[in-house]
Amino acid sequence: MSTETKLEKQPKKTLQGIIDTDVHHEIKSTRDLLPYMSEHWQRYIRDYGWVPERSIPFNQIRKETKYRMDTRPEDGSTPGSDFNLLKEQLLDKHDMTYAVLTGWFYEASVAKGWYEFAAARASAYNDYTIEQWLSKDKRLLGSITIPQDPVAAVREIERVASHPQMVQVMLPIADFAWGDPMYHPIFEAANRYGLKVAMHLSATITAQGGDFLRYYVAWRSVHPQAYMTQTISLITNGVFDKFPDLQVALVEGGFEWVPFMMHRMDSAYKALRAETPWVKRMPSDYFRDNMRFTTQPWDDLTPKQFLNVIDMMGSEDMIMYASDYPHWDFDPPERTIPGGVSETLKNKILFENARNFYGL
Amino acid sequence: MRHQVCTVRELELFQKVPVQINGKAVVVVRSEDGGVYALRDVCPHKGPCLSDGMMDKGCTSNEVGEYIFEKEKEVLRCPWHSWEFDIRTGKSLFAPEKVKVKTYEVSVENDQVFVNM
Repeated sequence: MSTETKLEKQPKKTLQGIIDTDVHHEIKSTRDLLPYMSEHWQRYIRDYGWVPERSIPFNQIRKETKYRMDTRPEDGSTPGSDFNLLKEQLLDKHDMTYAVLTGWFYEASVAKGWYEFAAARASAYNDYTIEQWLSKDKRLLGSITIPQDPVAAVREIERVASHPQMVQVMLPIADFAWGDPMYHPIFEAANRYGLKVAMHLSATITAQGGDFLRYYVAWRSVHPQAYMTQTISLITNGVFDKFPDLQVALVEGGFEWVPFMMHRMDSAYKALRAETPWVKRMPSDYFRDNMRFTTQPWDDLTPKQFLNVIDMMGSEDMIMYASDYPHWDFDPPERTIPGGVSETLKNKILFENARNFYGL
Repeated sequence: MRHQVCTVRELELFQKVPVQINGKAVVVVRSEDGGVYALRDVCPHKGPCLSDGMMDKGCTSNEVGEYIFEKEKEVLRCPWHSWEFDIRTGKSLFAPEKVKVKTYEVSVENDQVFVNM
């Protein structure tokens, strides 16, 4: 593929649609989960003052901190918790064909211990998502929230996988690597139901060589490192050899580092293959065949820089558009891919790659 | 050409007032010392109205952990990606010569604010 060719003017094609692969619907408060919980667990929220652990210490120097300043509903409730506003500001305004709800309830998946309650919260969040969101608009697709305990996670996947709008299992990125064999039953279950797997940073995402950094700007900048850890973990633990059809989307972790890691892992594999002989293919093959990455947060690349990244990946099929609504670093579909990128490639990123990934 | 856009009273109440002049979105803002300024109400980055953002002060520092608010440097902060634009010059704080929004001449007569466009 020649980047020069891509920069040339090409006949304009009509955009086939837009699929947003990262939309954070939220609960107004944990009380929204009560209708979907047994009396035992309801008491912790209703009577005993349980609140999710807040593991991120940061607050940004701006109104609404992590949210777009124009996304708070009129009643003052949490941005992303009002279906009508989300529909107006995202689905209708940007003419979305589909939007994948990725939620913001990762605490149930990354919480340590007390897995019964974490499982109950994950179940309640899934039921809330189905009843209060998926049922209201066919354009919305859902992610299954799971507890970290693999047995309970598989049980939850089996419980809701048949819902026609549930398209993936969400594995939040925290301080452990999901490729570990103890988590393989989760991949098996996802694969069995034809679900994809998505990975998205949680508030407990950490990085090596400094762990939890001191400022928000530092912590945000280091996120891709944790995504690298996850891709390495999946490949070296043979997840894609065990489940060759498994498809994993790495959401909100950037993509410029992907060709770097493809090349680095390939070069290591040539010398060190014998240590993990269950890994049968070159690591870059798994990147290309089994993994997808998303555009947001778009790092203000020029068209040439962007096409160089695509060129180094050796594939136009690996990147999918994401907005991250209603978070502060929202990227609208009209202002994400820079001018000078061909309509064909733009269409792949905004629509086709996600359509193929989710089989829509 | 001079366009009457809002009143000083409105600015005192809201600090920033979005207006339309010949179909162009403009935001009129009031500094803490009572100065009135007008800027293009579109963020050059991704396009939202700057008027949906917030008025803020510039903040500088000489060492780690020190925060010095700059009285003279008032900014309009974008509602999405938080880019800061100096309300007096329209220049961004991170790349003043490269990234900026257009500013317009403003005049005040009695309680009326006029923008020249």
